[in-house]
Amino acid sequence: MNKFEELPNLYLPYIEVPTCIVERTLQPTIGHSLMFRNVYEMPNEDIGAHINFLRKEKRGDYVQSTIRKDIAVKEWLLEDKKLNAFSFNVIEEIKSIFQRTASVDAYTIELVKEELPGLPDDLTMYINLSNKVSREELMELWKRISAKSVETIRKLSNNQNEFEELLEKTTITLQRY
Amino acid sequence: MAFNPEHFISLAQTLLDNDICDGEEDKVKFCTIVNRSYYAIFLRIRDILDKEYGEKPKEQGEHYRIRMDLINKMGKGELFNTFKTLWKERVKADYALHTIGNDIDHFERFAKGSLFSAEYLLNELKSYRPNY
Repeated sequence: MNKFEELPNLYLPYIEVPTCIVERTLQPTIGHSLMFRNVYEMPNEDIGAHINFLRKEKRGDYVQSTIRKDIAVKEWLLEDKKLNAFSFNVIEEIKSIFQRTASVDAYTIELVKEELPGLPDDLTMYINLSNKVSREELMELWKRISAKSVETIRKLSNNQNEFEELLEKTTITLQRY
Repeated sequence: MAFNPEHFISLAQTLLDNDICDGEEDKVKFCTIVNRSYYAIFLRIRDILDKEYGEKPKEQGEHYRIRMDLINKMGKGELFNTFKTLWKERVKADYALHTIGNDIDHFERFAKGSLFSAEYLLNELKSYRPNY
């Protein structure tokens, strides 16, 4: 039995697109409930402040472009079951790691379909942490999350080709805001 | 003669510390810092793969091979995403500047982040020993 065969199947019995992306892309108009990006966890005052800023600056274009980006991610996740299972499982792992880390008081996770010239499309998970997390802690968290994501990809892959293909399609980036 | 990856980092740091450019040229300077930061780690991993695993550099697809072998040969999945992010930052700095931002400040933050990641990775790889 090789290292791929003995692992449990992580596929979901149904398609699970991250909830906030679904909610945002279903919004018929820009309203109060619309967040400026597909945020999982963020203090309410930060979200409110950002929406107020966008309103004041009349940055409807920014919000619209964010919705377009969300739709692109949603469509991609609906189409690619493997990628969908990856994002769902990794987000759960990340939440669990952060719940057990005292210095992480607030964070956001943003999913972006990143298109760079000459490169295949890449599902990038931008994780923003508050400045209470030191840079050294940030790098340690990045290591733990990266190890979990590679492990998840291995569980989702049937062979080495699939493993490398999914690794190439995904990136997790940690930063502080 | 092979370059010492640490010199790439020290050059990047020197560029960051010295105010030698203005305006648009400053943006190019920050992009150079990102580029040198990435190559420091690329060369370090390539050197480990050559010395410890007998993996010789290939003519094509080197960046892909190095990323994959960081996991497949060296078993360093925990460093994969930091290294891949650094690689993408280098692509942005070299070919897609519009994705970085409009202001000098955006470029400066971008360069500082890349350099910090590179220093961290280089330090992590310093103590690397193969686990055959």
